[in-house]
Amino acid sequence: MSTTTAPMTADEFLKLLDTEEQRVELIDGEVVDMPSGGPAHEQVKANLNRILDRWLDRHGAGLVYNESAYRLDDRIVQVPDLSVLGTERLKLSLEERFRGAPDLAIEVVSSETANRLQTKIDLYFMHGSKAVWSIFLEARKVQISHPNGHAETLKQDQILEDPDALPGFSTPVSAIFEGL
Amino acid sequence: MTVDEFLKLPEVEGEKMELIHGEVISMANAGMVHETVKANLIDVLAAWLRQHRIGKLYAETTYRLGGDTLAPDLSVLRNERLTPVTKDLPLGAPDLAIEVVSSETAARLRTKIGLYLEHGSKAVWVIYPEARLVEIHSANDQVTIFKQDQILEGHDALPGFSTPVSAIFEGL
Repeated sequence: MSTTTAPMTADEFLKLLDTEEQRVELIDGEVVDMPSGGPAHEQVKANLNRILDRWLDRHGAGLVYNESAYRLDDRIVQVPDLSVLGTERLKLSLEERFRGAPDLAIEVVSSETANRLQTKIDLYFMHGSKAVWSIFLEARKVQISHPNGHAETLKQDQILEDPDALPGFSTPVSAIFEGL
Repeated sequence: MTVDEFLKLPEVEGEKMELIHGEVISMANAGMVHETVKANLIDVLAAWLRQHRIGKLYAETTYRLGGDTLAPDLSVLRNERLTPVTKDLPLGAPDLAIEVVSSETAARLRTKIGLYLEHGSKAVWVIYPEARLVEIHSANDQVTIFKQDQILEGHDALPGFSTPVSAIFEGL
């Protein structure tokens, strides 16, 4: 974890992000390295990216973004592995679009601590996400979290649906882990 | 490594270990935040169990779950499970397993939660001292989050039990 000497604002951070080669986030004014994922992490991201992109395209329901930086407030910038912005959000200007949390944030869990993941999920909801998906590679499970504090854990043989963030969408959980 | 091999390992002073999927995992020594939360939970749960006498509270007890051995920070065994008392490790998961999160990875924590539930725990409570949250994972794979200003209820694992979440984080 790299830290800066003085707390940084979201504006300063976003300028830094343009030049930075490392994957970083800003948490409470502190620049934090993101764990870089291994092959399994990248495969799952690719699988999900394709599943979501096809569905969103077919239904004209929004766009999927890859490692986009969302400015949650003046001191917090989070970069979900994947995120979805619905059509309402896409009516905003490019700058405005990435203010606040995405409609759906997806974290493919790699080496981050349990504390860090929980804090991130909490922050997405505090800033307007309709759902957060956490993908656990080793356990082959997906947790769908909702803003009301409830969540369900889905296993390989189950079907993932998310009526809050993506009404009408469904995919077998196994499709997310294909190729692992 | 098998559970039997694991159990024959020499005891190392001050070190706690678990065996997860054949791998020996040394558990981090947690700091005061972790220990304070544990002490608060012991207070609350022990008082309630003394009154209701439905089971016993255990701290860092090692459970044998098939080929894995896990030691939850705290656990409750209901009376039905308490006899006979033998010299062996308790078999199967505790009725209630409680993990106070310190430095473990999210992936390992998830694997442990899955193992407890697959081996018969009625619930797993996960306490996040940093975010001041409690997550209850139930046997039906539902997860419920309780925040500081809410009341935590025992449901299936401890029917009738309740405590303000703030009592768990008292002193932090």
